[in-house]
Amino acid sequence: MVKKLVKYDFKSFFRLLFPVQMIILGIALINRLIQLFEVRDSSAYSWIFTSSIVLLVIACIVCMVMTVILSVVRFYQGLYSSEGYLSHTLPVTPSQHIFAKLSVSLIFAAGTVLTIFVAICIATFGEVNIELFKAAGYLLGKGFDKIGFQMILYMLEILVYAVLWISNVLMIFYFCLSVGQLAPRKKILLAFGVLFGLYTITQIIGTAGIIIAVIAPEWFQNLYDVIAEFAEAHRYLFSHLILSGGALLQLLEAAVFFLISKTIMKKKLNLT
Amino acid sequence: MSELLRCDGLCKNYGKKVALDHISLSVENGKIIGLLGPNGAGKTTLIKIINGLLTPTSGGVMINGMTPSVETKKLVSYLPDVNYLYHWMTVEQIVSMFSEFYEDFRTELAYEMLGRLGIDKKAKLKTLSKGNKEKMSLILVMSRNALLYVLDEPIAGVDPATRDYIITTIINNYNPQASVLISTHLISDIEDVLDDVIFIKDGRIVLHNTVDEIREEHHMSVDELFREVFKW
Repeated sequence: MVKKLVKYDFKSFFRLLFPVQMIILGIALINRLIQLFEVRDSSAYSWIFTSSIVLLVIACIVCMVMTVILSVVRFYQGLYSSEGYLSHTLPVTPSQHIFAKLSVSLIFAAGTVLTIFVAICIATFGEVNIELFKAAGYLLGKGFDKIGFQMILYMLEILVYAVLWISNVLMIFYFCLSVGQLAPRKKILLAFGVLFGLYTITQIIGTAGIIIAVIAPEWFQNLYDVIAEFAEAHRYLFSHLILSGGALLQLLEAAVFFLISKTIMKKKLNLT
Repeated sequence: MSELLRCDGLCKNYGKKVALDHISLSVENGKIIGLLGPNGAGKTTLIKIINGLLTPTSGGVMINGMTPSVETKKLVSYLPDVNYLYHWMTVEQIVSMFSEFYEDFRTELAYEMLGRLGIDKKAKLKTLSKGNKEKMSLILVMSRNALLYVLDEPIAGVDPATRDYIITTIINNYNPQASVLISTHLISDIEDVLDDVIFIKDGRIVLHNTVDEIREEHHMSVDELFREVFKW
C-alpha cells in the first residue's frame, strides 16, 4: 500500500516541482550561453550576465522554498482538507500515509539538491567547472590518503544526518498540522501556534543551559575538560560519536513526532 | 439477514454542542435505508463516525462486527458531501487509483457508466462541471462491490435530471447482499426506493421503521410524516 501511496503522492509533487526544476536548468543553460558570447568591457553584457546569475540564484531559492512548502501543503491537503475524505477512507493505516508523504518529500528534496548541483555545473561549465571538480577530487583524495576508510564513514554519517535532519524538520511540520486539525475552526492558526510553542520551548531550554553555565561555570569547565580529554585520546571515535549521536537524536525526535501524529490521525481525526 | 452496522450509545460533542446524543441503531444487509433529518440534525457526523473520519465522544460503532479500521474501509463505500476527489487528476487516473486501492472495484462498470455520460477519460477532474463531478464521485462509489454503501447527501444541490440519474445509478449498481445508507433531506425524490427510514433530530433518533409500516401506521407518505415530525 505504501508503494501505491508513494506513486500518487509522487505524481502530485511532480506536476508542480518538475517544471520549476526544469526552469532552473533552463536558466543555467541560458547563463552558460551568455558566457559563451562574452563581450568584454560592455556594460550591456555585464548587466545581462549579472541578471542571469541573479535569476538563477532566485530560481534556486524559490525551488528550495517551494519544496518545503509543497511538502507541508500536500500533507495538509491530502490528509486534513477535503481530500482527506478520500485518503482516510482508503484501506491504509495512518502510519503508511505519513511514511508515504515523508518519503516523497525526501525524494523531491534530493531532486532539488541534485537540480541545483547540475545547474551550477551547467553555469560553470568549462574551465571553472573543471577546476572545481579538480579541487574537490584533490581534497577527497587527500582525505582518503590521510584517514582511509574513516573518510567513507564520515561521508556516510553526514549523509544519514542530513536525511534524518530533513525528516525531523518535516515531521515537526506534520506534528503541528496534526495538532492544528484538532481545532474546530482556524486549524492552520493553531498549527502555527504549536510551531511557535515548540520554538519557544527550544529557546527556553537553550537559555536555561546558558544560565546554568553562568551560575555554575566550574561544572561546565569540568565537563568540557572531560570531553576535550576524550576527544584528544580518541579523535576519530569522538567525531563519529558526535555525528552518529546527532543523527540518532534527530531520529528519536522525528520518531516521537511521527508517533504523536499517527496517534492523532488514528484516534482524534477531526475532518470537519 | 445479518447485522452490517451497529451503533451503541453513540455520542459526539463539539465543545458544548451535542451533535449526537446516545444514538443506537442496527442495519441489516440487503436494504436501502434513508437517514433523514433537517440540516444540522447530526446525519453527517454519524456518517463520518461510521467511516472513521471522526472519533465519537463515547459509545461505539461496529461494521460487520469490527470497529472502524483498515478492514472496515475495505467493506464500506463512502460518498461524502464534499468534493473529495484529487482535482489535479484525470478521470482515467482516479479510476485507476480506485482500482488499485479497492480490491472490490469494478473498473469495466465504472468505464461503462462514464461512457454513457460521455465523460472523457482524459479530462481533468477540475474541468468537469459540478453535476459531472457529482456523477463521477457516485460512479466511483457505486462501482465498488462493497458490503455497505454510505452516501451523504448524494442528491443535494443538483438539478432534477441529475437527481434521477443518481437515484437510478444507486438502484442499478449496488450489491444486492449489501445495504445502502443514504442521508438526505430531499425525501420525496428518494422515498420510493427506500426500505427503511431513520429520522434523526437534534442528534437523536426519533423514528426507525420500514417505509411500509410507516405508510400503514400513519396513513401518510414518508415525506408527509417527515414534514409532520420536523414541523417548526
